[in-house]
Amino acid sequence: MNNNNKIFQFKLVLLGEAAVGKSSLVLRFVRGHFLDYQESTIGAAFLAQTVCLNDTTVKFEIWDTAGQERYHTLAPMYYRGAQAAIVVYDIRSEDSFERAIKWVKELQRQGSPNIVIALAGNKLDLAAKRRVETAEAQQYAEENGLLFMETSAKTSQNVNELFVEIAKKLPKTPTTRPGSAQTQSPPPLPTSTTIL
Amino acid sequence: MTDNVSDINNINNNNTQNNNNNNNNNIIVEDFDGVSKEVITASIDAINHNSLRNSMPTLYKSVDVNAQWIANKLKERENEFIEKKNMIIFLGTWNVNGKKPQESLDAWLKDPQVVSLGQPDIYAIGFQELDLTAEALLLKDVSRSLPWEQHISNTLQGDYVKLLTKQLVGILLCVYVKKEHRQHITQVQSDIAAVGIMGMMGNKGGVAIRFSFYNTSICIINSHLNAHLENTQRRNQDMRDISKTIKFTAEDGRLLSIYDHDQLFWIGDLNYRIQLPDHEVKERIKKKEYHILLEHDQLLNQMKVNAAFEGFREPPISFAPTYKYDAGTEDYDSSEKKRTPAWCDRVLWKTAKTAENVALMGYRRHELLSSDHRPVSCSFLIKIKTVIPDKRHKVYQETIKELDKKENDSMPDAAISTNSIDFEQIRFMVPVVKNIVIENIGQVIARFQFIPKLDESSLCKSWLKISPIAGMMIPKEKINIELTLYVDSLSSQAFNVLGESMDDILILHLENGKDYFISVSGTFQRTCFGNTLESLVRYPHPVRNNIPIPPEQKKLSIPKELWRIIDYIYNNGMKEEGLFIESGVGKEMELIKDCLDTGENFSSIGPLSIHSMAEILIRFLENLCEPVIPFQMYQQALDASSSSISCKTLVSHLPAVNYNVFFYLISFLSEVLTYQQSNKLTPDQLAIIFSTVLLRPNPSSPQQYQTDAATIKKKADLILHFLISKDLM
Repeated sequence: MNNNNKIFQFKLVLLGEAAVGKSSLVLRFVRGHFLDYQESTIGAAFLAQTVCLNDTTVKFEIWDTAGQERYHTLAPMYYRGAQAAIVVYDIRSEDSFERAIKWVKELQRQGSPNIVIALAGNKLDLAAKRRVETAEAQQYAEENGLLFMETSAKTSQNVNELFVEIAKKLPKTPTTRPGSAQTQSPPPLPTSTTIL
Repeated sequence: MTDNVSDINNINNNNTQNNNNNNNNNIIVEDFDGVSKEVITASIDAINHNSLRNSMPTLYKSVDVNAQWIANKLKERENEFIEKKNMIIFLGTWNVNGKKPQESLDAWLKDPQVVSLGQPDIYAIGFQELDLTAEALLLKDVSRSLPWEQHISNTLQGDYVKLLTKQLVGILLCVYVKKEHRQHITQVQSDIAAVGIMGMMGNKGGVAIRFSFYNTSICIINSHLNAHLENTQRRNQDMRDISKTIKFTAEDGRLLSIYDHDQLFWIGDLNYRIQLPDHEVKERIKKKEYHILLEHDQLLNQMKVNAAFEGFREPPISFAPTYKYDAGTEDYDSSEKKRTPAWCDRVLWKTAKTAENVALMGYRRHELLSSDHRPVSCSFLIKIKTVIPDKRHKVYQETIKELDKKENDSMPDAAISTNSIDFEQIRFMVPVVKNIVIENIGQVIARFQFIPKLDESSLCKSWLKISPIAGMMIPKEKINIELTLYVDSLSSQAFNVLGESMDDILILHLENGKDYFISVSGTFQRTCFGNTLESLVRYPHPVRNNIPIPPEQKKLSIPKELWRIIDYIYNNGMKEEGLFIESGVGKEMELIKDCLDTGENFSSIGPLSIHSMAEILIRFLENLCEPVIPFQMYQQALDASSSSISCKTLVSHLPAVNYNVFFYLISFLSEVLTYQQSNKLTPDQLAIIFSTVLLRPNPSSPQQYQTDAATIKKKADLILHFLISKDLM
């Protein structure tokens, strides 16, 4: 039977310092557009987007979070129960890369046990002002088992690819369910059904 | 895969019959592909997910409902990715009158007239009266079917594989398909319907097999209806009973009837007769005047008036009646019963509106002589839908994209007037109100509510009130949300004593949508009101001077603010009539508070009512975070009130600062009473007024509600002992 029509649903959260382009990445991916002036997210925005792979379909419930440090304590509300996370930094800012590393550590410590984490170096269109070397980020990602891509929400370079890679890496066996050990952890499903 | 078998059986209770008798093949199990099981688990997830909603901002999207919508959309657009192929289906029916296989079936199944037009892709072969023995009826013996199956297999040789056979007593249906098609056949199911004696014996009835052939669903029914010329109505009823009884289960768990298929074929010994005298029938058969006979054919006449087989069609008959022969001969019944010849054995079809019409390739009888019936066959050219995977994927992607867009567009959206509210200067017990306006800027109704932060139970800090905490807005509607910041003696300690900063973040959640954060901040003006005695005696400066205290700083014996208030009254108002009874002036009292907190002289205020200062004394005591007689001694104090000795003991156990304050106040009040002539105050009055502020129950305790006269008297008595007996201190 063709697995194509099985829809697996995952919760994905975007984390990273303020103004690195989290919302822009989501809007590029979901709506296919880019705003030169993207309002800063004060809260958490929710959007849905589906990725059709060759053999399966992955539906993301995307939570785009506020990057400002004052809202840091609220982040667990959004990454708790997420099966995937994109940690974003601005390739022009070493600070934002350092902050991304902190997010990765926090996710590894407090996120869902098998969370798929992708590290995204955004604003690749401004590579002339680069301060974070690709090789450095690549190495960090490899050492920590993260997916890694440099992206540009503005030119759309690698944006779809990033989500597709995450979709591919997410486990799609309907039988793998979370243990009941973590009382707080919501169900990292995936739920699935077959159509046609 | 086999693990699913038991589950499937449990789920499809109504389908138990289908799975019986099918142990000789595992097709049904394969084709379920665990689907039903997943539908169930998906809905369990839905339940779990919902129960967790309060603790997390995610939301449950019913995946199976979405999937169904996508499936429907794909069905609507299937012309864009479906290719039609011609296939030949051969339908054969033969009442074998209890005979075992004796002669070659080539003249039937491989009739040159049939196969010259193309090898059938599907053979559906029905038998009736496979077994006329009593054992067959009672024991449901199936051994008679095997030789026939073997015989068919031999006839069709290696080009075909058996898809499924289904038997009900003497009724057998076998479906064979060309090997190349086998992998494109799914959802193979079968069912039976007995309409015999008592409706259950199964000597009459029908068996059905359904399957999906590429993307076309096909259902075939083989039935044996009641016999005899006069039983037309009985046969009509049999047909209806069979069509209602037979049920299959779709992939999504729905029940399917025989009519839920693209192509439906009904074959068998339907037993309808020719309503003419025997001699005339035989005469006309000799002359091949079939058209005359067909005018009197019960089945055609019933179908004309929609009394049976509604919507079914039959190819035109151009062959002699197939019943009833003397076995092994070409002679119609010569026995005593002299059965009139009839077209008992028929092939009918019905096409769903959505399917392409079938094209007739030939409706024939075949000259096999071993039974009293002749076998009949009908071949059709049918259009089969096959999917072009790439095109389908494209349509699927477009559909998904459309759904995502609709879903995102239909999410609620709101604009909020500000994400940050600064209440600026906040004074003790002075409420400040600020407003936020939220506007529904989305296309749908927006329901909002404030939600607590993770692992917290309240929506905000205790000094903040939100109103309303939840609501609903139609598109373009605005709602005003009122935030009231109010610091009372319950919440003041955090700012006065612990020096915490005044801020909070509120989370405004849109149902099925985003969250908004609203930062709230204020600057609390530190004050001696809503403070603690302990903290006030440690700080020698006015509280609003933020001068750090050196650790070696000696404690004051009583708060300097208390001394200043009492000193003022002592110098300006001891003789005032109505002291502590008349109210102060609100504005003056705020100014007095400022003087106390800044160290400014009272004279800076200008002329001042003594009653304002008197009330300030009472308010100061009343608003202490912990009263002079601490909460934990409240009950002891009530208990001690009847005895002056007990009261003395109780007071001697007060913490040092509290003891000092208590002693200082009693001395002052005693002094006030020495001016009784002028101020007209009695010890009882003072005892009642001051006992209520010196002796207070914990506001979170049930004692808070003890406002009965007895309790008030007990409190007053405690103070009274000290006012009338000077040697108690």
